[in-house]
Amino acid sequence: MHDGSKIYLNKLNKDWDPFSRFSAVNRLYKAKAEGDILTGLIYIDEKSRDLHDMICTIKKPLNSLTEKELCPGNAALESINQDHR
Amino acid sequence: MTYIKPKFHHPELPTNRLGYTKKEYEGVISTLCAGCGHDSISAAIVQSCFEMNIEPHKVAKMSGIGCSSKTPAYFLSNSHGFNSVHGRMPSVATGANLANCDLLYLGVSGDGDSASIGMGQLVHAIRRNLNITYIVMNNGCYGLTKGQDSATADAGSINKTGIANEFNAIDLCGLALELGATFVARSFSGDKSQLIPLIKAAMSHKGFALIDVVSPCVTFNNNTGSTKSYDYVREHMEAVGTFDYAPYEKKSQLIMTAK
Amino acid sequence: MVYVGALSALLDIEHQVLKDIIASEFAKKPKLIPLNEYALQLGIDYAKKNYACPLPIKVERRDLIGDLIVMEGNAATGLGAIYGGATVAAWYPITPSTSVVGGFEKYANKLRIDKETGAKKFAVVQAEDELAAIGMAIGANWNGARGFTATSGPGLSLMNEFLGLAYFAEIPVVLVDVQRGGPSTGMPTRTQQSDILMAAYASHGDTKHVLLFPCNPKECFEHTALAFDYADRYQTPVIVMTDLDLGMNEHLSPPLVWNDERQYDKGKVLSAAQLDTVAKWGRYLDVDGDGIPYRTIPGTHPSKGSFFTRGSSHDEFARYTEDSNDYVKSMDRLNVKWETIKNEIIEPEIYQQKNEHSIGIIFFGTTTYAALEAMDLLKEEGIETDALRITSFPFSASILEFIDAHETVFVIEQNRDAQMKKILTQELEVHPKKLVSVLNYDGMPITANYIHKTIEEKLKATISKPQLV
Repeated sequence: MHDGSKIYLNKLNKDWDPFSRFSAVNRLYKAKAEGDILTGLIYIDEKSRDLHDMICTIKKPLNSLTEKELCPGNAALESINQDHR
Repeated sequence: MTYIKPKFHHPELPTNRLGYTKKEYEGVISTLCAGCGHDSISAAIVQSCFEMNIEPHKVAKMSGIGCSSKTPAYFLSNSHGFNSVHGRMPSVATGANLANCDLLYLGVSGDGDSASIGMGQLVHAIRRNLNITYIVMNNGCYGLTKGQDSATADAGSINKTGIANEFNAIDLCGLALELGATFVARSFSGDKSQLIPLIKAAMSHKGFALIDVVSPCVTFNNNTGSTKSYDYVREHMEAVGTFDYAPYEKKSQLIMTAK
Repeated sequence: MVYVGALSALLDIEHQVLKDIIASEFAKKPKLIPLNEYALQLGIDYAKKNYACPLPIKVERRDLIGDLIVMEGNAATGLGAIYGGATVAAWYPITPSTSVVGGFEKYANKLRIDKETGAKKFAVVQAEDELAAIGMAIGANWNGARGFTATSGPGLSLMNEFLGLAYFAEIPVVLVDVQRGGPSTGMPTRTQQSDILMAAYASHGDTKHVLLFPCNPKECFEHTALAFDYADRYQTPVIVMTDLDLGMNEHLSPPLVWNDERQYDKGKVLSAAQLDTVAKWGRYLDVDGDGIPYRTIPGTHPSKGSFFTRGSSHDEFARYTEDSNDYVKSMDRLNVKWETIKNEIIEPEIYQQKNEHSIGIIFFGTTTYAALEAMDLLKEEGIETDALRITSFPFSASILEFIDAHETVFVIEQNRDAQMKKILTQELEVHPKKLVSVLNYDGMPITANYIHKTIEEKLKATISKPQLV
């Protein structure tokens, strides 16, 4: 897993691959067709990128950013004013 | 029955690496029905957090409305909690996560909250791969409002009223797989040996980790004919595999560096 | 370009100005500049040869603009959010509010990028609907970041439930409503000021929300930045009410200014050290007597300060309760908070040192400049008036003083049902007959001529009709 921890899986079915979405979907449908409730870790993507990764936010929490880091200041504003004259 | 928890505890209660006993991970006494599956899940959450050496105040407990959404009061008293409006927990959790990526987000919801009014928000939280452990306490009915069938009730399943549900069930795991979810699991409130490692793995996962936990409602949906009763689930459960979780040993692990 | 050249000769438009515009317009394709200059000259030569140039009507340079800027209200609003410290913007596309977050994102991509890593010091999420947008903004604020959303009338309708939660559970959130023609889908590309009643009292039960009414881009910028301070200080939603006319059109405005000494007002938030000094903290305890309790942000202290945020009734320690006394105490404290807000937020603009006339005019937002021009037209006919511009809700005591000081007060607004007049009547306990409505709701911006004509007609009707007291 991304933080170095490990999952030890002992598969009870050789026709199921927990890293394959296709296999997981098939396994799920097979269980349903047989009237069973499939349990356990059905699918995992170990390379998962979360929302923060996708939108490229800074690694520091946004709620910890100071005014100095957030407020561009009057000089930048005057430059924007100039663009609108 | 008393609702006051004793403050005294055995002096030799085991402690985790933070020096906390399990008591530091508990909440107030449950006011759910005796035998409710949700209480077992709460206990599994307490156990998982204790064993994972998580700092309780670094967890944010997010829930919606329903019996399931009451459970965050029953674990992690030192964590902030947010009971949002019905079905809208994923959006609040998204905003909270955007504000602080360093907390651990634990979303607790039910099948009414997630598979009906909350269906849209659940779908998009999965789509965005929000970093959250999302546990659905799934009993096939609306316990808090006296037992109506929910959208996860199987076609043909009979609840306490004796009337069979006509409509197809929403399979949250099937839906999650289809939506590209990166961690999909199902468990049963009566099987802690499976549930606890799943919760731990979900909390370590970077992204949306869905655990659909069948959690029988002893009051409204535990009768013969229900496909979400204790008896039915025990008879029809099929595990994909046995499963064990081992946390990363080094101190640089995410949960150990929480401030 | 030939046509422009001909026109410039006829109207005596300065040649260099047009050359400069061509140079700037085609700066990225310089090969086109000589061609366009040539076309311009062709038009000039043709007009001079065939017509008597210049005409009796001509264009003459003036220098009345000074340092004014030309900007869209929505862009100024987005900038206000940047300067106000917003880090989370959640939104759903809807005309005419889309360019608010568009503006925020555009400026954020220039001004809020970490120099070392290139990472973003902000997050913009396009939500799946307006309910999710406001939910995300609320979640962000609950967790200590300044979050906001922008929408229009239909979106505000959807956001009602969450606004009630934010009001009752006392969570800061900023919402920009760029109003358009309603009701329902209404007129998406026309302007109106018809969300006022809904914004003021959004959600079921007894709720009321802080509203701000900017009248130009400068105020869009200032009021939006201020909204974040107000939301944090008063732990409540703040709704910035603009409209399509202000938001999507470019307006002349005084330039935007920021005081570099200014510090954000994050309100009453307890740190871990402060929690250690408090004997017994309650999330909804009124310690200072102003109705505003102290809050804590998740992750602050290992064993103190945690609580449940929820929309259900709660006691001073955030515990669930349906006890009558606890509920009434809670609701009454929210009223105490409301009075505090009333005394602290921005005042209306009053246009005269002393009220000297029997007729007063009240206006707000985009009715402002048309109203001021109408006052000049009335003055030319000997009808002199005093004026007051509403900038915020809850209403300042000075608005009641203004109304009491005049025999007749005209309330100018752009909706059919005189929403602002209704709120004034209700909140200030003014007799409805004292306030006379001037209403425009055809979707086009109100004009000075319309205000002038309407006031004249209503004054004539008043004189010829016996007064009912």
